[in-house]
Amino acid sequence: MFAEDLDLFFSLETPGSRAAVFAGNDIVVLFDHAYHDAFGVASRNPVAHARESDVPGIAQGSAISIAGAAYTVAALEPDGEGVLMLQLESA
Amino acid sequence: MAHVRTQIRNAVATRLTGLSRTGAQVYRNRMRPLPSGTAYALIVRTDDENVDPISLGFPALEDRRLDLTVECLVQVGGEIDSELDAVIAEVEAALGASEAATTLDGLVKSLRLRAIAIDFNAESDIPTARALMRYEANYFTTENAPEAAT
Repeated sequence: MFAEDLDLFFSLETPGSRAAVFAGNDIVVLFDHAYHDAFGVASRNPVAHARESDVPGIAQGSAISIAGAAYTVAALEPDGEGVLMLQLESA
Repeated sequence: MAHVRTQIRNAVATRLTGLSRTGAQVYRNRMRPLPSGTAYALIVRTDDENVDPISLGFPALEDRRLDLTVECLVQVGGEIDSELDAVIAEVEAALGASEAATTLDGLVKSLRLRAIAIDFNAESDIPTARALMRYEANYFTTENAPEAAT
């Protein structure tokens, strides 16, 4: 079975990567914070991708800090290949 | 003098200005996005209208039924559904407070709530909820004077 080397992606040298802190541990996530129109209210749609091995025990409601901003995990979507997509809310 | 539609929209916006949650954040037919950080807002829109001539001869008397929407927007953490319900309650109370309120001080024969539609947006960084409160305003004009309610 082919296993991707996720270190290639989850590096601060990767465009879109950000330093993050989860449960007191420094990790790297891929972060997107695009403009989002919420019923006509200017908003953001913060989404992070993290290695599952970096965020053990993460669940809905977990706290995570990304580039110094505090977020709460609203939803998790595993891709089945060791990466989690985290839908985030501002904490 | 403006069309009675405009007068109705303005009268509703005036009655809804200063409520405890939405305060001065009351807009009329707003097209552009509200700025980030808007926790509570109301948008008053005048939509479709049915017009029935109910007299013969000139000028005909017109029985008009205007769809008016009060869009309630809430972007807060916590129990957003309860906050949205609270905003709805404030709007209903303001527009149903008295005979003067339900007739907009005589501008319309009646202003009645017909339906409420609720929607939630979970993709924004702060959850957002919207209620579309659909009112029907019944008023009369003559065909040659759409700027004067009779």
